[in-house]
Amino acid sequence: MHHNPNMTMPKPFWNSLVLSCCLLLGCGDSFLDEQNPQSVGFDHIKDVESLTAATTGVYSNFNAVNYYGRTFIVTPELIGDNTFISFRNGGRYLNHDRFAVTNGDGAVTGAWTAMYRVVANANLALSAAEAIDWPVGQQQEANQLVGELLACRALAYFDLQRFFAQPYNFTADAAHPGVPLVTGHSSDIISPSRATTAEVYQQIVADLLRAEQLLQPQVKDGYFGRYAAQALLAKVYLYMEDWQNAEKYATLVIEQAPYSLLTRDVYVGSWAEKFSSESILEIGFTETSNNGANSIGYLTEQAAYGELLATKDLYDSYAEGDVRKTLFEPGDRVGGESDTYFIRKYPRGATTRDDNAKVLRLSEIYLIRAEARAEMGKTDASKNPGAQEDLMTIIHRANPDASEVSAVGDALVLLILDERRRELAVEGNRLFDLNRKKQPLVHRGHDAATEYTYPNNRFIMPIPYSEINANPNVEQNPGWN
Amino acid sequence: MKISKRIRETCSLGMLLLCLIMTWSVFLPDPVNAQQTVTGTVVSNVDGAPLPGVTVSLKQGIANSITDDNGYFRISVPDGSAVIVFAYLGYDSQEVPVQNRQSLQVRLQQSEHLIDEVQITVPYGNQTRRSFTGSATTVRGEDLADRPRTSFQTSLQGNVAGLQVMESTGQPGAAPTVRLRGITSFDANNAPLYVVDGVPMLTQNVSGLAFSSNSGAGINPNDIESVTVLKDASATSIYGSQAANGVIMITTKNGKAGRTDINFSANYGINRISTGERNKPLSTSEMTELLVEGVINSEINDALRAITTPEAAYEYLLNQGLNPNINTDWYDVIVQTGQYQQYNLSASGGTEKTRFFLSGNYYTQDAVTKGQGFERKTGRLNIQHQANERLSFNGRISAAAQKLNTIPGAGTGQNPMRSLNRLVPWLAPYDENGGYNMSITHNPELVRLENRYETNIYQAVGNVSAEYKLLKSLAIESRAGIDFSFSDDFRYWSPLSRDGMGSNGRGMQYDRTWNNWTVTNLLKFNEHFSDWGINVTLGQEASRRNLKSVSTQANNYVAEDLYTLANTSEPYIAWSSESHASLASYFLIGNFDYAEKYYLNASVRRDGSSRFGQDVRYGNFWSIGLAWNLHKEGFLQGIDVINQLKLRASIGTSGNQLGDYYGALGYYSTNQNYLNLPGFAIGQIESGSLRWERNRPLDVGLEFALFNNRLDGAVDWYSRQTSDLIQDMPISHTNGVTSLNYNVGGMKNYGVEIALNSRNIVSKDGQGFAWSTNFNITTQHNKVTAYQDGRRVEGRFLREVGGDFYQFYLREYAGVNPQTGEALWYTNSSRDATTTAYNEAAPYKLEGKSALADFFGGITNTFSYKGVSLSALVYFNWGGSVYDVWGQYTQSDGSARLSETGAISRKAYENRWQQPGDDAAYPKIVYGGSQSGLTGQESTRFLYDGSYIRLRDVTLSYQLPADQLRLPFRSTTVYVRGNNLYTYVKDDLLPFDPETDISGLLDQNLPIARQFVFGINVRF
Repeated sequence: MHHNPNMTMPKPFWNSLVLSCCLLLGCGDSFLDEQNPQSVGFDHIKDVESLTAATTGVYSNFNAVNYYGRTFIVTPELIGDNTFISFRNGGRYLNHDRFAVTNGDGAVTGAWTAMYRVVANANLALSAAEAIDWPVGQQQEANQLVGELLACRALAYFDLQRFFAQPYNFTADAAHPGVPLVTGHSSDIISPSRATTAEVYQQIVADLLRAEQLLQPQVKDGYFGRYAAQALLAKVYLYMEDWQNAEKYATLVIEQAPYSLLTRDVYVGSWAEKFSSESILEIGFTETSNNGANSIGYLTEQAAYGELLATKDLYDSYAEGDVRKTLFEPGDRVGGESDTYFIRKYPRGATTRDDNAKVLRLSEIYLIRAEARAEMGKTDASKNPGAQEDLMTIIHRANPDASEVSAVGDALVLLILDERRRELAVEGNRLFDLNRKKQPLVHRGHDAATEYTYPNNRFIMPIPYSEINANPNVEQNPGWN
Repeated sequence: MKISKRIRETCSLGMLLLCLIMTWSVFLPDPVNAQQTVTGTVVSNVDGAPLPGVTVSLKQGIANSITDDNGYFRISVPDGSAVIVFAYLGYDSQEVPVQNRQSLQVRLQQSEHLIDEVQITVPYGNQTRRSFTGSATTVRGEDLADRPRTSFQTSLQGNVAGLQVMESTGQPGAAPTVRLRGITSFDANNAPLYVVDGVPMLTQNVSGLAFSSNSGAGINPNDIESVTVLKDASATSIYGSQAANGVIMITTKNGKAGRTDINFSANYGINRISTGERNKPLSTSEMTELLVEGVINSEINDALRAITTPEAAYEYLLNQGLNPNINTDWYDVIVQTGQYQQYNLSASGGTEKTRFFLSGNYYTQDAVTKGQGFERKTGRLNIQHQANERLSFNGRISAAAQKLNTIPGAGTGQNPMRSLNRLVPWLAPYDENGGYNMSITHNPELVRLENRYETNIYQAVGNVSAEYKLLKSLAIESRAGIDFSFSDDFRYWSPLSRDGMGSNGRGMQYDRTWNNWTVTNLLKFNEHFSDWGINVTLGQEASRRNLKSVSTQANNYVAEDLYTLANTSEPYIAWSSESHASLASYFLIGNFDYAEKYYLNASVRRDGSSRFGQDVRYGNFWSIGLAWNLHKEGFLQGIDVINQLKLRASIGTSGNQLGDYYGALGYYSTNQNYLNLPGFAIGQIESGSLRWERNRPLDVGLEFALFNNRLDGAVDWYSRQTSDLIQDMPISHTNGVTSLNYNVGGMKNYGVEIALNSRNIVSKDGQGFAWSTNFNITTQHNKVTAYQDGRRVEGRFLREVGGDFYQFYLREYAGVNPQTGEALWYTNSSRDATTTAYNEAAPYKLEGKSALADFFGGITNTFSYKGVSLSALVYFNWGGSVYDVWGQYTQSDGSARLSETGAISRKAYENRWQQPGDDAAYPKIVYGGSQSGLTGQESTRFLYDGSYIRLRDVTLSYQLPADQLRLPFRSTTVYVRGNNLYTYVKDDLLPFDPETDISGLLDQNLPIARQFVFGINVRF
């Protein structure tokens, strides 16, 4: 075959050339520069839209299984006297059930991680928001988001303090170790040491006071608004034993916010619903965004795992006629305990598994004010009737036949504590309430009980081993190795 | 950007070369004018039989040819003074001057130095064993074909010194754990690089949901000509950043010119759990016996304290819900005798110009548990074409479809092994009416029959290449390879199942597409100058891995037996993601020899990886290997005993990339959502200075062939020092993430490998009795040589400088107090004191307890007489501890009461404490007790000696005397084969088969099968 140079190129040549050009594109300038297609850079926050997405990301950490998804609701009740794990179980929370938590506990570690993820993401978003010169038209929206970020951070620090540090009143000046306090954002890896409890609470209060100023009063289900920040502030002051401010903020919420107590007849049904009229802050889940088999309801519903059961002691604490008693259903657990009590506060666990976590309800605000007034009543008797009235508001809502309370002083405070147990059972408060009220703890199972005295190293959780391992500056809680 | 520009230029150059080669083929005339043709036949000196496939080439010039089935050849020569070279594997090469003859009769002499001449596959080419300075083992295709194992990888077990192949699950189609000469990395990849016909292939679990899958199972083992395991720097460094864990080269078959060869084989067999009798579940009466004892022993409350007689205890148990009338043998419910079938058909042949290999394979195997199995269909076409004397093409493509049924394993409730080990016998899978017993959380029958766990993997792996000889000694080659796989996972949770109950059924469809490509361009120079030989290859390579994952889920099915998501009413999840990684490389390989005595192999490679930060993404790798063929020296010439003696040594570097494609970047993850609104949160913090892991293999070896080649073998001492090991190290959680990738440590692996092949008895004519033995053994030592902070506990292991990487760190179980029956643990490593309170015992490093085996290997004996052949492979894995992760549940000592998953193991039944004075291995049973048997009480109680010896593969075959039987086939062989026939387990207390992955953790996975197979091979 002779090739004529004047001839046009044969077809295969052009085909090859086209092929080579196509393949060449694969070797472009950026051949070795790959970006994760499921990510944005840390410099992404520039406007309201991106700050909204960052704030949404902060809230999403509350959904974590080991935070408001399940662990932070389950463990304070399990270590306390309200619930226990069935002997027919899948191995979840057994160490908590046996009062034998270790520093490597996955649930405790997960809670620590999720709480600090709220903090770190809020810090990063806050530092970005502060660097933006907001146009006038966007200032209010920006303020709302910054207020939410501050309130989220405050809630996370409050929860960290409750879980991992002794309560505010553990020492006279709250100078005992709190949790590491980080409020800014650094591009370097940090290994912070623990702040004092006083310092952390100071930050929580400062964040909430600033949030109160920035947030709008409108209620937005599942998010912080002004009243939710005030309600949290009331609870924080209660833990700090700042009775005046606790009463002040409780009153603010009771009198000014658009919440109302549910009536007795809709109370039980409300547990299958979301965002009721007395709900101040709920961490929301949806049918498509939930923890599935790891949701709280899946752990309590008998058609699901159903291995978290209520103690007889809790059941017996409700008077006959108390509507709340019906949230604990007597029965025999299939393949498990006979004569036990099923928890029905998270009934969506058997179906859509998207029960919301109820963080703050109006009934608790009444009980906060009752407790603040009862404590003040020890030195100022004029506060006692208000305390008794607030307590009766909650008792009578559940049980109209209950008799009036006439106790004052410590007796009244203990009655309020008992009422908190009944009203807030299986909502993640019991251990914290006993500890801050310096009470002993009777750890209960199906057929056994053990009493632990106050003060007790085991009433708070160990700093997780993985933190200790990575952060040489953080000190372990006493009594944990 | 300079670097990128250079890459583009190189890539372009490569692609242009490929295109030009293709184009030239069309319009370039044959460069050599054929002036004369010589024909003839080539025969063997042994029996005078014609030799097919002999390479016939010109000493001066580039023309070449191959003899056909009858030994006939035809070649063009420039003139009558030309010299023709005849070369054939196993025979001495012969140079024959044409001397103006037109016809030649050539008689080739069988080579005395057979071992020397064996061709081995090396990166970017082939070498003879004589010239190779590295350590390599070649496994022939016949040792892989027609085995009842889903992948070639598992058949390598026991056959290759230095290579450890571990099946951590008996799930057919699962990827085995493969480690060459120990472990090189903490967190990054530890698996060898697999190269199929010159193109790197991703060999791993490629699916999204399957409990385990293996893209390597998509390669039909019957298609494999040979597998070469390259172990040291000399051979592996040329793959640079991918070669830290060794390289396994797979070469598929190709046809020979001449008569078309057609092969058919069929296999049928059965399989059954291999060590199931070790731990049969307890019956209801046996469990009751334990529980009655437990109730009497129990003092956890007043009611139990009051019970002292067996009658009262039994009464109590009945009241608690024990049902004595049901006795379910979960072994019968869950375990099955499965079937195995394999059919293979191949055809190969061709002409001098075009050769081909074509095959199809069907394979199916049930698992040892009901409802799980594997099925594979593959097809392959390999084709080689010599367009003219300068230009040749090579194309290889295989397509495979794998189908797996994999119920989740390990700790999941659906795992049938969990059900087998944990479900109590007084529960029945079905109720009186034949319906499912819904009181069992995960009823294994319901899970198996109502849910679906289907995975389909579709693969295409292949390459096209073209080679053009510019001069006799200079050639260019371009190659483009693809490694494509698409996995289609489908899960269905029935409304009856625990998982699907709340949503009235859920369907899940996950698709993953891997689209990986590699382009290679080579410039090859090969020349001899008197005694000097030189062989140099300059290369450039670019590759990219692309993964796209799509998943969707929906709830609420309209009717039973409808599975596609179109039958649902509620969309639930819609999701997709992508990830990419690229690698650009340049390399130079040089092989030099003098007088076939002294050899030098050297290589350098520069790799750029997208997985590292811009300033550190390039790594340079090199190797040098030396070999000295002592038997060619004068001073050994007179010694008849020595047929071959070669001393070799190699050293070099290779690397390991970050496992995570984006592991060095800092970013917000955008997959967050709250109340169905999109958001982002800190996903990862940047670690921009992260470097390659560096690996420095050193190998010194002696190869020999003695006594007229009756005994040959190799002894190697190896050492592999890795540094800059990457680990995802914990950082304070206050940073928003819990870990960050750092270069933190170093590790050293060293040991000795010995491989011996002995022809103990040989038969002169191939018909008499013959016996041969192949033996290999490998010792391995692992030592952490550097580690951030020197020491860290990770799970059940202590990582400490000076210790090995899989050193167990646990609380130590001190047995049982003979008087009280209570469990004891040592309080600390001094072992001075014991405690009955688990919390008071401190965990510590357990001296001498490592998951790594001390040595492993295999011995194969083959006996043959006339057409009968018997071969047996015994595999051994000795030393090393295994830990039963779930022992804390199955040895609950009564603490689980009557829980549905409270079954107690037979080993505990047989070895528990019963009365004062008992010297028992396990404590007393205490109903509802908490002194021992609680979950979370991990200790050496569940740590066992993992040593075992396995009769791995026994084959008895008979080649039918075809001519006597007047069969219409060229040859017919029938055989029976047994796989994993017998296993000796050293530790009597170990309830399970000890084979697991490198970490020694027994994780409730499917046991491997014992198989019996009948097969027939027919060659037309």
